[in-house]
Amino acid sequence: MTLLANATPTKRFFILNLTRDLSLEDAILDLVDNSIDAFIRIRDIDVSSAILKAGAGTANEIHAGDAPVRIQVSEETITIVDNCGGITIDRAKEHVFRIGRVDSTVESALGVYGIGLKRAIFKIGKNITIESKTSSDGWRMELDVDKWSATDSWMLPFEEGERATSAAQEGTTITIRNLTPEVKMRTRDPALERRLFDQLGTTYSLFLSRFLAVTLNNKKVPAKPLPIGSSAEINPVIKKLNFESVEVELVAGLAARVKGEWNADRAGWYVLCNGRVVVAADKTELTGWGVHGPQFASKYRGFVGIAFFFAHDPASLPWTTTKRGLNLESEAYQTTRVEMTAAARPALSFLNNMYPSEAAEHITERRLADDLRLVDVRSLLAKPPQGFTPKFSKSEKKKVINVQYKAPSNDVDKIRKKLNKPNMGAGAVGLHTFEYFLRMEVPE
Amino acid sequence: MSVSAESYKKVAYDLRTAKQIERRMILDTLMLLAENGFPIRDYQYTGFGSISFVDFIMVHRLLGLRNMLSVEQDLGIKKRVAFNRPFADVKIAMNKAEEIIPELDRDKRHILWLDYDFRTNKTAVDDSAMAAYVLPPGSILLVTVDVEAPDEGLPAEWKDFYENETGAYFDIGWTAADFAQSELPNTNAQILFRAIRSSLSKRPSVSFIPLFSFLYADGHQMLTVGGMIGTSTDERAVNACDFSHSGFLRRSTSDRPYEIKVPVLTRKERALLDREMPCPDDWQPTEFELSKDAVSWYREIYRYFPLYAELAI
Repeated sequence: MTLLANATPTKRFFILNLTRDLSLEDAILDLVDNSIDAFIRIRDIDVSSAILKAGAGTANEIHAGDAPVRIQVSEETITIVDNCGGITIDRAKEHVFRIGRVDSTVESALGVYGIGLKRAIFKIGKNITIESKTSSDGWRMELDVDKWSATDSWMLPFEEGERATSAAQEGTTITIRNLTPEVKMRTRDPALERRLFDQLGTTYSLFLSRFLAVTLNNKKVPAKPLPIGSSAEINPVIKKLNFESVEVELVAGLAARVKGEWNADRAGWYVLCNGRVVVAADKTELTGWGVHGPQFASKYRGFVGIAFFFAHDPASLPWTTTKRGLNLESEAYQTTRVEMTAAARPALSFLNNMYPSEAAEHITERRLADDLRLVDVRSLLAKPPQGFTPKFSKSEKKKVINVQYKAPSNDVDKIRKKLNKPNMGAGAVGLHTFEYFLRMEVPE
Repeated sequence: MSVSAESYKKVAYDLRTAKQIERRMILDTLMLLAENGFPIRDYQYTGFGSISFVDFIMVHRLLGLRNMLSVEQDLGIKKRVAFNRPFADVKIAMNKAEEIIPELDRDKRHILWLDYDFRTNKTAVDDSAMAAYVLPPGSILLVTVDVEAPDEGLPAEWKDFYENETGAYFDIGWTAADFAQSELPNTNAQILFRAIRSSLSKRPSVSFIPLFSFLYADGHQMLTVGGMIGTSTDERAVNACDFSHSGFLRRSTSDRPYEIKVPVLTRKERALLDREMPCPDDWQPTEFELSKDAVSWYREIYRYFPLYAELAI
């Protein structure tokens, strides 16, 4: 006799566990992805030409601000209102709330696994209202998550409402109240708004400069441009790759400097899937550092690489379900990653020449560091709590260090001329300029 | 000679009168808290005593604190600091504040005063955030920063400077106007409050109970913000205090700072004024010229206004 083991999913698993995998920011970004997808679907936009080619080349002309999304975050509620076309009753019935995609027809550019909406709203709160209007119909759903999870049914009741009477009304509003405790703790943090604001600007950088217009708490989110630089003397590597269902474009070079400086925060690889930034400024193995090429080091902080992945079916793209990570098993990505390292090589060589030697280690710390021996961590855990207190030797002799640098000979000559000492040694010039600054600018 | 609005700037910097008034106002408030159930005497006082240890001398003499720690990061004055230690109960740590804050004893309550002499930068906000994260409920946190507008450049550039250092705590709505000279102190206060509240958002049962937001100038314009980190019980106890004579307090972080204005007065003038203090509104002395404004400033601070004399020893 065949026995049957119950393999049906539990609501508890979905609501409690799947929501653990993403952060509040990512949940909100998932909802923005849906708004963008609604717009792309209704206007029949080809994503890669719309956001990459200068001047929109699509069926319908699109303009900046055509797809507005307004996000409000407070300690009590999170709301997202879009004017991107709305969801029809049919789609609400059969597609939007299914967990996973219904069939293999591709209908979105950014919605991948069919869980974005549900996971996001369950993550954020317990009382959810969704209202949507299209030109043909409208509907409204009120969901009490606790009540719903107590029932066996996987159906969500909703009601018909009014349809949109003008284009300005065609869109969807999601209001989430009774925030989950972990989300509430985040909304109490004054730094959250800023993080979200920055992430919106980075993730949707290309969309914001084309048709998307996002406001967060009534402040317009500006596109944060991908920091790649170019000039008459230096241009980045540009390479195209084609796989069966995925197109890849690579750009690798140096970042434009900000106030004469490069910042490690902006350096590394940016990977975009269908125009959406998946990883930004990555300096890890994920984007090939230390795998087929060198590890990221501070001297490489001038490097910026951008990898664009485009596919008609977003499931072919190498992103993970949170859209914040990359699937290393993707064949297209594995090959691309090697190409990324190759594309980076010229810029990294340039930087190696720019920063030829590492600063010398300071001798007092180095002597202590040389005495360190490997120790079994368990023997450390047996000890009482202690701090990190290096014991330097008592002798506090006047410490002297070597200061060495290269300077263009023209400049050294100019200084010699100014000092009226045409035969002054280069080392002496260096010492003089050092002492000059010390005396004039640095108080005792 | 009438006392002008700028006269408070002419006070000798080395005496730092406004700073001393601020200290006394803070101590006065701590005494009020002690009267309302907070065991201030048992708190640990941690600050930057430098070589004069003024606040240490005050908290020990006036409040009776026995547990005190002075933090000094300049290793070059180690002997000088040790030489000038005022009492046996003052311990000295030759470290940066960031090394000391996580090591503070969590079984005690603290008064921690991060009395910086530089502009709000990453160190200031990171230290403030770390302090807000570790201090046990009932503790008092104070942060002082330089809010003098830079000599050169425009507000948009100053905004860039602050954004570079403390951008995580920026309000996304701030524009260059919030960094104009007149707004700089208040914006700085907001940055510090946001850093503190950001840390406290991660401590579910504890919040920031605002008390202080002082603006004063003995040379550069300086800002001190502070308050208690406490539970709702602590908050109720603080609210139960009689603060009716402490008009210098700032009980909400959205309040603009209290400006300490010090009129220039001679000893004889002060003796006469003191006899009438607290005086009725609009009162002015008849024996010499003194504007209503100066009288009003004096009335606000007379109790805390130090009297300096030279000791001919």
